Amino acid sequence: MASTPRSGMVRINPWILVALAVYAVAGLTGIVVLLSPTMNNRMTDTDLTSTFLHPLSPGHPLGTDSLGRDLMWRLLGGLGVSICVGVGVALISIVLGLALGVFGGFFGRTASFATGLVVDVTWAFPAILLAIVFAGWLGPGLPAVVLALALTGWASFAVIVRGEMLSLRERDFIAAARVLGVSRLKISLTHLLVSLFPVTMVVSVFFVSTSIVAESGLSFLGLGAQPPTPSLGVILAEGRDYLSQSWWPVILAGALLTGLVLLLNALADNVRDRFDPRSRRLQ
Amino acid sequence: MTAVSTGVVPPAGSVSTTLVIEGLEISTVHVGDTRPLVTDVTVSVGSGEIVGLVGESGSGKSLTALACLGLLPHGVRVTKGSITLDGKTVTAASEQELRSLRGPKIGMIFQDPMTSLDPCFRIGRQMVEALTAHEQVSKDVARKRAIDFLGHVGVPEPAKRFDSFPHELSGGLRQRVTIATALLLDPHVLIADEPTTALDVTTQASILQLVHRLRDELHMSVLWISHDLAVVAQLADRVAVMYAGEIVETGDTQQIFAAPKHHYTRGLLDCATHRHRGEPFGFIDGSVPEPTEWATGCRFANRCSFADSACLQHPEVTGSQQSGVRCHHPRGGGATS
Repeated sequence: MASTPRSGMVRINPWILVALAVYAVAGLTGIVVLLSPTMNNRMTDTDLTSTFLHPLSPGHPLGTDSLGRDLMWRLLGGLGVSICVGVGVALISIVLGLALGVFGGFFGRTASFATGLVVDVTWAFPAILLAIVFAGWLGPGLPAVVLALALTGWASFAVIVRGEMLSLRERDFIAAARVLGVSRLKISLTHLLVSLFPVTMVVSVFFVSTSIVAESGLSFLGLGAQPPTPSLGVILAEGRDYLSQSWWPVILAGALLTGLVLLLNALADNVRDRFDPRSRRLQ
Repeated sequence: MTAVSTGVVPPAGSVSTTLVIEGLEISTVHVGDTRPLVTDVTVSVGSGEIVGLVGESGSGKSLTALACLGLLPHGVRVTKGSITLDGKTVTAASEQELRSLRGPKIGMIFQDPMTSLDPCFRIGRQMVEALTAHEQVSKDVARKRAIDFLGHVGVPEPAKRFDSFPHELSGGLRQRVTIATALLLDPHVLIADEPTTALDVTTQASILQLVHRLRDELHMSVLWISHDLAVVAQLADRVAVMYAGEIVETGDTQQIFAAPKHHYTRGLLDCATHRHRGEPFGFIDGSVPEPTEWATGCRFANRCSFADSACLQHPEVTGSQQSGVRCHHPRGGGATS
């Protein structure tokens, strides 16, 4: 996206993209390790003879944790989990939110009211409560976390989309299309969906980052990834107990998480600047 | 530029009327509460005729136009009267019927060509969309017809422009594109809601010429909504003047501009033209009343220097439908003028 900026368009900062690419490679490595049965043991094997090894120890570049598990692989795996959950939650939320937001925004008052009602009911359930319910139903683990986050997240997205739709449908070009006898369904599926693209892009990037934080939080509480599967939240939670003896698991996991979220937010901000016609700059 | 209008003979009275608005009342409707925004509007547009609907902002011209297309905003309804288009009653049509009317029977062009084209799609696609909404045509045929029309409305290099995005065109070109799109379906009536207001004066003149030419070639009826008297004078065969939700004067363009009967029309003309060099522009004291502030008598009375006790009664239109005035003391023939 950073290539060939058109005149007047805000560029996406290349450093953000480079840093995100590094994160993506790390996360993908983590996912591969998580999924492959032969490599999985790298992050789960315990070795009680070498606990709390400092970073740069031989064989363990980032040291080990309280059970002697290699921290580098655990962080990579945790990152993979975070990215999977973040992207998964964002995707589900967006599909659900777009569908309901478009429905509520374009098909008259009753539809708008119905959407509002569903959203309000959804918002009445905190994600943590839902996560506990789903953990009880599906057993604690990542599926429960993804479901809980997606089922609360889509509502905010639906509200944003509906607001955007309500503003879009008053635009002249929508009226112009209606004047030409184009059906409402066709208008909402072409003109409106395409016009929703910028806001969808921005919100989805933002959603990935909030979902990652939420997943870490739920895992920290023990509702998310179950041992021995690592997750940044799990590493934080486990490291907290031994903070006085070994600071590095908590610091490293926290830094990784903070960096990723900051980067995603910066990207969302950049994307917004790029698509927002009001922030168009002269070159 | 005035040559444009003087060269055209107004259509004879025998010509069939295409768009008939009769006793139209438009109101906001909330639960148990109806407030009129437009009352008793009667205008007809004959086949091949250009009628100018003139008035200040808030006089109800745009609402009247939207009602013709069945596109009134939510909570606003036609509460009295009727609109007939080619013998078909628009005000009683279902959404499905309306959709089939919009396009082939009645088209509309908007004030601002910068916003009436979707910035996300190539203009060709938007034109073809209009065609395919009504007719089963192949892509190639639709494309060819769209390009033909672009050429017809004076877009240079139409084949190339077909694939342009709206932002790549100037305001005048964009307005030509919206006109071409509206005409693509060969509507009997074209409603133009101040389509030259957002354009340069020179561009405006060329668009006016274009509309005139197209009217002659396609024999289409035009309801031209404007607050710009100069534009209407150049273009329209007949003029209807709106004030505070009702029509206060109708007549031939020549007659309205030469000898306006309503004091409001006179005031409007004074605002737009110098009668003598060096004299300041005239103006009408006060502003158009909100629909909630309409007087029960003549709605213009509080701004009219000829108002007297008779004006406490709401005046009816006197004269014919072709040339009428809503005033107790019309100029040139009234008791007090």
